[in-house]
Amino acid sequence: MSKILHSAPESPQDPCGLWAKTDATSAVDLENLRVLAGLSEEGGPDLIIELIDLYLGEGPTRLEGLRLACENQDAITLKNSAHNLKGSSGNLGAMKLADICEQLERLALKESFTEATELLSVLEYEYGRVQRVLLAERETRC
Amino acid sequence: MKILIAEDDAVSRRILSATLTKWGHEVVSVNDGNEAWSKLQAPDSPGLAILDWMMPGMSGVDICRKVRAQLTAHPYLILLTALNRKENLVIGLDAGADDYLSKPFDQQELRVRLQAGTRIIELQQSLATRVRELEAAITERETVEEQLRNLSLTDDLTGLYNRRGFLTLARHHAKTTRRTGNNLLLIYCDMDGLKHINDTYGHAEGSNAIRQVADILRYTFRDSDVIGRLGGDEFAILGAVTEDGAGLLTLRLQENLRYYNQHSGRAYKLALSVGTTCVNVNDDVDIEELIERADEIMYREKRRKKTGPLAEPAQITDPPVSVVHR
Repeated sequence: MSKILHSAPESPQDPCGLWAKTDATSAVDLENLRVLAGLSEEGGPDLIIELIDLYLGEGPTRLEGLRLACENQDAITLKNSAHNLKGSSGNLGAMKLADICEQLERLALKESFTEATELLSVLEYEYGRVQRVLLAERETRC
Repeated sequence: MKILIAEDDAVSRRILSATLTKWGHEVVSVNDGNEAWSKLQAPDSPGLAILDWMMPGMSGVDICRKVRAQLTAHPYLILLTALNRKENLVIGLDAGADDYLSKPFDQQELRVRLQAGTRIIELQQSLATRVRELEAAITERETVEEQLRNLSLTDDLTGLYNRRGFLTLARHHAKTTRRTGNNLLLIYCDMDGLKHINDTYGHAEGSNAIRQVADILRYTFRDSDVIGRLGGDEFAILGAVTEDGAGLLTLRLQENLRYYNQHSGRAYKLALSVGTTCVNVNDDVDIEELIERADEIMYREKRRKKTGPLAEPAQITDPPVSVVHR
């Protein structure tokens, strides 16, 4: 993972070298996610479904918030929003998305808004992949 | 254990609460710093709190600082952070966090950190229990000492009988006197001008004066008499006398006082107001009633001679001594 993050940009549209390799590994570590199923209350609803709904429910607002912060060049909001998305993505096993969020946090700290806007496209693409995997997982559990 | 989770990210919050609930803890979840702070101030507040570093309202670090500065009860605080760089940890621990936990959660790490926290909390609780036990033991001991003091029959300052001792011995004395057919004499004395001695020469000298009076009483009366300090500057003597013996005893007391004052070399003089009652013991005698009667007579004498605290001892030839036959 760190190799991906620290490799040199391969094209102007791919400032962190993530775009080209983003399909190389699975978007969500499902093994990690499935461990959480054990935490469901006995006889209660499936915790994983609950978590997926929580995560995807907040997703669009979060992406919109990131986009807006970039446009407004609001470094603090951008940094905090990226930080939050990193936390929940990491906890669900969406490690690559979490890494992109961390990259975005660093760009926000440096106030590199042009690069941040480019990276945001990468992030949105990755989020789409995560969403597909999570929805598929949700389907199998219903 | 009751645990507070303060985390604004819904996914992380839900995973944490599900984990802790599964492990048998009672979980309180909030999603911002201000609410976390109010939960920690509540009467039945959680013993352990997991606080996210970055939250709306108040950050986890700010909460740590406020808890340490303002609360007397100290919950165990775990900071939750993805900021796992060393300098950040130092800031967090310096603010008063007990431990930290990095995101994303590792179940094993969470378990170990909670175990450490629980150990500390249990130690604190057992310490608090021990302190409470010790405090209770001290209170109990003080109560017992007080009871022992109350059970004691003698007065620490003078070595005479205290009120309890005097009453006990006097009752016994009254019974044995009845067999001899003698009269029972009760002399009640109250020091004049003790307040003046206390105010002028200090309380240590006041205590000394009380001791001197006790010595004079011991010297004046017979071994068979019961002498007590009933409290403060009040003394009582009970003895068996023949009908004209009463006047003789009180006379001797005033003579001894006068002799003492002439030779003591002290800046003040000792003086006593004295009241006496004498009863025939064919009847049942109530010692406390005797004391009360003698006290009244003494009081009349004191009022009569109110010429100042340093007045000469009362002349008992003009008798405050009354002999009562029943």
